[in-house]
Amino acid sequence: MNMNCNRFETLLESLERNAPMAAELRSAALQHAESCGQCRARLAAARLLHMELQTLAKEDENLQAPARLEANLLSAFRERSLRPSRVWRSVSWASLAAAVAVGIWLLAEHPWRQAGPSPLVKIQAAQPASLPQIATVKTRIAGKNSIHRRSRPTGSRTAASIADEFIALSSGGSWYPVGDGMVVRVQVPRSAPALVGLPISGGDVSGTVTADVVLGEDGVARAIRFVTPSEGKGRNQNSDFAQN
Amino acid sequence: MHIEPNDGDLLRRMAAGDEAAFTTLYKRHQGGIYRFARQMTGGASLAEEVTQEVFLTLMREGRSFNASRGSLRAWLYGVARNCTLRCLQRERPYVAFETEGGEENAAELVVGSCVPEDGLAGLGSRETVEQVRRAVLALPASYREVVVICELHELGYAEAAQILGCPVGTVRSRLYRARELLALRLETLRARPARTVAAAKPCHR
Repeated sequence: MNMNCNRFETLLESLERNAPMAAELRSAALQHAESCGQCRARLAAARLLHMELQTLAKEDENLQAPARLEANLLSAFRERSLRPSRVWRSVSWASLAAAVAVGIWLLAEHPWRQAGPSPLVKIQAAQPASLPQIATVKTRIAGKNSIHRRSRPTGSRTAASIADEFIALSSGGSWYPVGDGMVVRVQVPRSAPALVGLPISGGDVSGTVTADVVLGEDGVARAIRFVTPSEGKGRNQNSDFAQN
Repeated sequence: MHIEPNDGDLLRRMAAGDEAAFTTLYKRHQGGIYRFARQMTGGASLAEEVTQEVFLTLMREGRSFNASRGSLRAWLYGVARNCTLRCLQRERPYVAFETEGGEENAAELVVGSCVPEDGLAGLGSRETVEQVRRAVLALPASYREVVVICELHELGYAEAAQILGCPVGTVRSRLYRARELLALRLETLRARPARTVAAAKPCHR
């Protein structure tokens, strides 16, 4: 078997570690080392280095982290287990952000600001003009992404006709993409349905109603739908809005 | 017959809040992680800091571990490696290189090796071990980590590649170069009187 210094170099690692290799190959390499002073020195140095590193590894093999570290980490683990999960914390923050966003939108769009002190009359009068023009909403609910595209004619509509739909909350006629948004459930003033063209049940504007708000990635509310108490248990209802 | 739960099972239980599972994972891996950090930094306090950060990361991000991309051990070593490099960067302005011409000596290294007369005889002595430790710590970090992982911890090239996030070929070539540097460095250290060698300091390059 032909053996030269270059070939020997490629086998050096296996030779120094006594790694398994063909007996014929090993024999040829060792014979070469006997006859070549440079390769013999290389092999001896490599074996020495390997042994020295093994000695260091042996010296350090019983090194352990201090016991106090385990105690610290366990207490951190317990503390972490007691805290609400990150998901729930972010949902809580999202709910708060949604409530604030809806509140700001209601204040900005509320006809009371422009008209006199008779809100109910003004709201009802403004109903057709306040209907949003866009109703394309992307929602993410329970980890599933789905895009619901619903085109609705503007104009007169009843509570029943918007049963399953979100109503877009456009700002100044502009519409921004939702992106990877999410839906959160919030409480809004009972007068809020009137601002998107829906009747107020019983004409009473005191108290709050439950609503689902679509938040964009930027935290701005994009769309809203109002839910009844029975929908809170998993089913949409069209007719009336819950008063809380 | 008692069967030890595997890392994946323990990780799932830990994510569900099982403290015993976390403790088992910690006991199983802390030694290797601590040793790795200590051999990389040369300091007990930095090694402790790194170990703590690794297991806090496990608590925070253990759910994101993907077993199809490698072992939990490799993942933990990878986190330890990143923490260690950050620590070394942070400490850089405050850690001096070897005194008494340490850097000069590094440049003086002569190509070519020879085994000292007392090389094997002295093997295993405290001084020899400390010389090797100093030589490892003096390697640039990219070579040191591959020596620590492959030589001192005896992990395979494939696992080392997962830890370092590079191809196996890169691990091999770095190890080859690192061993050359190490051999030369050790020659120099052996040639110097022990008293002139300063305390081991990690190389931050």
